[in-house]
Amino acid sequence: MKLRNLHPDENAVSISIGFILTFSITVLMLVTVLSSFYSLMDQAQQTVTRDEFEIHGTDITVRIATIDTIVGSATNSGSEIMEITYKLSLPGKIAGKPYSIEFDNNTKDIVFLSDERDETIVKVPYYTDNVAVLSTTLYSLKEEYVITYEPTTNTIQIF
Amino acid sequence: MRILKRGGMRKSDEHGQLLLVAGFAVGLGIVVLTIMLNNVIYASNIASESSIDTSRYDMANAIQMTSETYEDAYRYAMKDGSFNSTSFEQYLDSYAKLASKNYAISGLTFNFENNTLHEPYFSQNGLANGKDNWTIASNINTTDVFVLEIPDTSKLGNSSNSMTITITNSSGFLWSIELFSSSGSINVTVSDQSSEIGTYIASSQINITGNKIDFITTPSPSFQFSDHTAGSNYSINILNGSNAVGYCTFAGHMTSGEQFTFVRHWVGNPVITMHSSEMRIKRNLPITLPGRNT
Repeated sequence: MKLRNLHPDENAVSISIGFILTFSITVLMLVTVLSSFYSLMDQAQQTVTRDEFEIHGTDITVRIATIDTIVGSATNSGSEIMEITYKLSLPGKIAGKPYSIEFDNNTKDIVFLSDERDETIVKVPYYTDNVAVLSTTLYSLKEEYVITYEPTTNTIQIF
Repeated sequence: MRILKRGGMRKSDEHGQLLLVAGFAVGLGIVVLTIMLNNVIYASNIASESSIDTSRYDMANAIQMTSETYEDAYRYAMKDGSFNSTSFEQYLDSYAKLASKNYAISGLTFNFENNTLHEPYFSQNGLANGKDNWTIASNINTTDVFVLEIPDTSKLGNSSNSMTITITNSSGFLWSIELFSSSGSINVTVSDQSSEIGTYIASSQINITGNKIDFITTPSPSFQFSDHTAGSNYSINILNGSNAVGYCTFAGHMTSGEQFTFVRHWVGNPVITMHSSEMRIKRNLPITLPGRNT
């Protein structure tokens, strides 16, 4: 039997099976495309989260360094600081997730940790010469924080 | 398709491909647009502009301005020869008003609280709790005026915690004067690196460069200050400065040829408060009067 004769013969072709095959292939393709999009988005969110953490971390270290400089120059010139207070506003959620900020006095790091995402830990180091930063952990949903210098203990408190 | 074939319209059944290709193109376009838009939205929401903070420069500026104003106010109050406290207060009041107006333009409140003038200690900032051991000036070539005046011997330490002014250069100690209270008078001991030059009793004033005690040259004290310091690049240091209250005047030339002056008759200690929407700083500022720019 020649193959050419077989080709127009559609006796063994079922419309329903053809439909099922086409449909399942379409569904599979859609699922693949969607899930790849999802993972792409997830990666993009992590990148953005890390970027934002670094930006906010640097912002906080600038404030800490400012207080340190002001205290250092005042002490050198024989002045006394009675109060330094900075307001700090940070977003409650970054890329849709709340996060925590930990100030570690031993390693001198600000550790940003996003909720439910293990990959998005960002450590921003800070340095102080004249004052110490008290170790503490902040939770992002509060949004408004205060960085204050305590003259009696010569420490920076963040709450 | 089968129906079309049977009807003999085979030619037109391939037009669907074009529609399909167009559909794919539109779909791809939407995906690309979505991704681009997403990136634009992310980029515009990222926090990048919030880290500009100029408060430390504002504070430094305020400190410099206030110190200079105090010195100017003192000079203004002394223009008739004696200190006129009314002129001094008026000068500072008008400064406070002008400065707060000036800072208000840049969104800062500036408040400055003038306190009474304090009697000057020999410590670094001139206050009783100031740094005891400090250097008035370095790289000095000649000192033309070196006068100390201690009006109240009850605030002078005794022999165990005497106030000392030393002259040192890179190779070490050159000359020193030690002052302590002894039965209501000032006991003065002058030494060089190896031995004692002399001991004297004064009641208030010691003029080292003029070789005078209590404004007179008798009984001819010889402090030998310039003999021991001539030609060296030296520093004037104070030790145990908070153990004495009094006035001092130093003037001369630096090794670079510039003039230096340090005169302390009073110490002002105002409190400066600055406040903006996101920060608040409050500090005091000990100011030596008349200061270094007289």
